[in-house]
Amino acid sequence: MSNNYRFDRHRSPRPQSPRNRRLGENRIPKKKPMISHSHPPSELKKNQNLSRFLAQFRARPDRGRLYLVWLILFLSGIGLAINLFRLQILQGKLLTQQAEEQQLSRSRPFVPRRSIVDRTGNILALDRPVYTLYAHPKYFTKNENFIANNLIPLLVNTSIKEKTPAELVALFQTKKTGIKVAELLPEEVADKIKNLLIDGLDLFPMQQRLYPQEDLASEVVGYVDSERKGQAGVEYSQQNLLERTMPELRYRRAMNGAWIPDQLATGFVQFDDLQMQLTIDTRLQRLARESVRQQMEKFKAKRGALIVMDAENGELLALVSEPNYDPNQYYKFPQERFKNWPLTDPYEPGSTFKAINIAIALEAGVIKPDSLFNDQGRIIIEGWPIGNADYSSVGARGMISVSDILKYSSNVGMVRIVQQLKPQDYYQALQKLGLGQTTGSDLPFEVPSQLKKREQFLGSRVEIATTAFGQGFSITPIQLVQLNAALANGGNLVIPHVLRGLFNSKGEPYWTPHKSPPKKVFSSETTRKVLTMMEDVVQDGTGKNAQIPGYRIAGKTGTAQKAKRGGYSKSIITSFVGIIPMERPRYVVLAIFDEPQGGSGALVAAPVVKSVMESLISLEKIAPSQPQSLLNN
Amino acid sequence: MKNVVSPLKRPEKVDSPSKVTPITHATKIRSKVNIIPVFPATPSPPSWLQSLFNIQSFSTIFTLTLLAISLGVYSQTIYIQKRWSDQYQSLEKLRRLEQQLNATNEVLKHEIAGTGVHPSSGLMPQNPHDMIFLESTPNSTEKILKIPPKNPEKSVPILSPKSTPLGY
Repeated sequence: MSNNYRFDRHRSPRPQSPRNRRLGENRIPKKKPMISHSHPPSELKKNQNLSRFLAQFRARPDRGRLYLVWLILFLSGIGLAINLFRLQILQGKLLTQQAEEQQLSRSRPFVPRRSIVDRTGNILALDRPVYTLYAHPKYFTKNENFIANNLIPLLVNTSIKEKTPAELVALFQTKKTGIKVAELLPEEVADKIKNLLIDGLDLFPMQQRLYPQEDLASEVVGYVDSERKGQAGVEYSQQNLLERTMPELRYRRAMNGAWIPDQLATGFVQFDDLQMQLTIDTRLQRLARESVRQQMEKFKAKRGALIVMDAENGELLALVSEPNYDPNQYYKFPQERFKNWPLTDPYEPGSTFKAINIAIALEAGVIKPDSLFNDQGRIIIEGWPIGNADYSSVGARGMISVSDILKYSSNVGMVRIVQQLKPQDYYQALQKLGLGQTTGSDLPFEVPSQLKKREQFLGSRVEIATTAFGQGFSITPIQLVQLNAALANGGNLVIPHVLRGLFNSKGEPYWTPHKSPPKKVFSSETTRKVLTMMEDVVQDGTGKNAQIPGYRIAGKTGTAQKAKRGGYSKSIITSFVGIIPMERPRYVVLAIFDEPQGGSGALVAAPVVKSVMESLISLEKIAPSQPQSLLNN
Repeated sequence: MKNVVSPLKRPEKVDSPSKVTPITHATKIRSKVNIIPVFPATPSPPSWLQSLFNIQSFSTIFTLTLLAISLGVYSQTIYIQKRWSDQYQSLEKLRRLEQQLNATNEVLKHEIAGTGVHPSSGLMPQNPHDMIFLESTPNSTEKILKIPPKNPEKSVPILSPKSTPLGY
């Protein structure tokens, strides 16, 4: 209405009637409602104005101008409608597609591979972002020399081949786009390059597996290759547990140009905080590795290995295999180092197997701990001479007990014991222990132990005789530990493993591997008797070097000639297996040294087992059996 | 509706029912003005125009409300998008920092442990000889449990400073 009034004033230059003007003075326009039935004079005026305006409009001669304006507006409206039709209907699909191409991106969000931690939570493997620097000289807005001069100082100590700005400028001139300048740049270098704000440089993000502990546990953890596939250790065997997958997500370009996901997928904002926990204790692993290295150096041994296993459940607390490699730079090492030889290389265990044979004979009931056997020192079976290692110095020992046979590691005595068993029973017992098979551990590439074929074994007396003192068949170190663990835990064949399961950041288990109940291979009475004999070995026999004052330890040395084609070579493989503590046997420690220059199991391996057991005592807080003897030392 | 209104001489006459609808709020003006204009009788606006006026006023209110709502919704959309973008980026940043912290921490741990192994570091591995083993006292918990918790007289002497402290 007020518009009408204004129109009125503009359109009609005639002076207002005095009556009207007075009315205008009388009203209070701001407070007055537009339509009010309680004030008829106002409505009358409005109606008057409207009819007057219409009359004037009809009477005006220059209303063509209004038509013109109306026409322009109308035509513009039509034009807009046509354009809208063109954009929405005719080109709608094409334009939507173009917009989506520019603003949307569909990709799987990058989810880092799960971390691997040890039993105390130390990280053994984690993902970190790295960058590849590409140069596109076509898009350079600054001088190439300027760019090269700024880049070179940042790229020192990286994978860049060009060492001077001039060389980098020469590289820029080779291609117009897509020149790879440097790879695997850490984040801090990438940030510095970004801050230079140089057009034509592109940083392509990638993820790299970082092993902060370097070579500490590489035989267990393994490594991931450049295609992010695990190639050794649990990185290989537990690939499906370590990789996280995510559904494909749509990303939208935000106002500031950053890509943000435009929908939420389950577990995207909070991807699971699960970590793979291993049973390895890095503290023990570090001390064990150091001991093995020192001993290898001392005896110039070719290879060394050490395994610590919890006999109650089969958890491996340490697994050292020397020489090993740094998984951060796996490409710098020869391939044979990746295989983890304590699992892949069966060897003839020698005397360390004697305790197992005695357990078999005791279990079969053919001998008793105090049974006496004639040790002639040297015998001939089927034309093959079999003698004790100390025959030249000690000669024949005569009638000795089973316990002494183990204590002095008498080969002839062992042959006599095994001869009490029926060959087929003996073979069956060996098979029951898992010889000829793998232990079923969760580490990859495990090789089965090798036992002669039944016909060959039963058909030859010398085969049985050599098996009695641990030669003529081969077994992996991991399996030897498993068999000794059965002696420690009362006769159960537990499966050695390194995987504890997936745990969240609070340490709560999310997934743990299914464990089948262990196979019972010996009675607990048998194992108790054998352990007592093995304790004698450490106290008075060949294993004295493993003694720890205050602690009761069971153990057995082993020195075996290495088999070669058609016989045995002069080189030896020495080992020592120890079990601690005797009151409640729990931990089995095996050390093996391949081809030490001189020495025996007692001399080379036993001291290493001792030092590792000392560390184990501190870490696992094993109380001494005889505290008084600790005070005396 | 009356056609003629007699001029107002006195304010009292305003309330008279025979007069035109009074302009009650203009008391001051009334005192100044002696003559009240006389309007000719006009018919009320046609009903179609009246309904158009009604529609116009309702639609104006409706449009303004819609406009306010749509502005609100639009600003919320923009605000939420901006917040989501900011928060997502800060999440990414935190993840990066967490990862960097973890990596640095582990690398440092490894380096410290590595230097500790060298004989020159003056450090040596823990040895059973250097450890203190305490025999457990299996009866101690029983003794504590035997104290009736509801009886304050008996528990006071244990807590009183005069008694020998158990921890020393």
